[in-house]
Amino acid sequence: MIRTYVGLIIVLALGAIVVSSLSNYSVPLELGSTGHNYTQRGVDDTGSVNLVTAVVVAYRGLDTLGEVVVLFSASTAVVLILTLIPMGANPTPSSSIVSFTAGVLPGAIVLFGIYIISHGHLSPGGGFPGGAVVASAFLLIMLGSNTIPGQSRLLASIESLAGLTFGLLGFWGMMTLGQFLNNKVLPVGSPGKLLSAGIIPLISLVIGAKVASELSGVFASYRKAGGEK
Amino acid sequence: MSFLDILAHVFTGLGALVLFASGLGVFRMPDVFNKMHAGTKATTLGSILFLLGIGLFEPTWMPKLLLVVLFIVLTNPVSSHALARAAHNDASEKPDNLIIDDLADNKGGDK
Repeated sequence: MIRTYVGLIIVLALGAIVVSSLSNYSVPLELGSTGHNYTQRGVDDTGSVNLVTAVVVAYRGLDTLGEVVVLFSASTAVVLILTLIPMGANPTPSSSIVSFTAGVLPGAIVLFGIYIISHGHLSPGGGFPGGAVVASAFLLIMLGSNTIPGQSRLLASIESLAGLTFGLLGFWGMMTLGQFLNNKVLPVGSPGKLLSAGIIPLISLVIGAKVASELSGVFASYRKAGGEK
Repeated sequence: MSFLDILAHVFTGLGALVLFASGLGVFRMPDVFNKMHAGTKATTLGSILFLLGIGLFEPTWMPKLLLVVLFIVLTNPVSSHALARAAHNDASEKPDNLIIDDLADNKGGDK
């Protein structure tokens, strides 16, 4: 009961703060200098119509490499923990409804994921969300089948190869243009085309492959940890 | 305002209402199956109504939105079905007042 009232008071107080701060807030009509720079030069600089991708993959590509490393260490930790401490219940046999759906949908889901990955520089999306979509198709297949996935060398190879390619793409820019992950080692091309925007599509592809294989590996190890007990 | 626009407002408004009812149901219902009932059936209907309403605002988007609707129709009931079965398997989630329990009676039959 006390918790409810305390929660209510906090919500009301936050509401009062928001309302009072809104009273002398006016929407800025112009972008700050960094945003102004990106919007003015972004398309010419990178060839990417999607400026978010231009910022994430080209201007701040090093940060994205860091994010990939974060995801890699997280998934490695999950798999390690699940290998050391098998937890979870035996998977119950999936019902015929789930099995049927798992037979029908994954193809379309993978296709959509590949679309999101390959159009990262043209429309909302890119490697991270597209890779997650592809991995969700594998999760659905796993939920629909009653077998426990074995050790997958293919997933591990795809993952390592993708990470290696990301690094090599970075060093390519360093060797030719003197800048790590320089986008212009490939021609910028005409913005809006599928094959344009320098190495952005390649990096999207690499990130997509890495995210998809990592998440699939995590799902598989959960399933295995459940099955071993 | 054209007839289509009014229809679009009605659809999106109804969709938002159903989605709100769904959220309220998850908050108010007593046990896992009741919560699930509110949270899954109503979100299916709510999202379909809302997407159709958006499609009436922008008729050129309609084909894509219909694909999204098809996807929701295929996935949302299946995922809630799988979740409900998982909850049914977990004895601690079972409400005390469950009188008719066909799934428990049929265990082993449906595989």
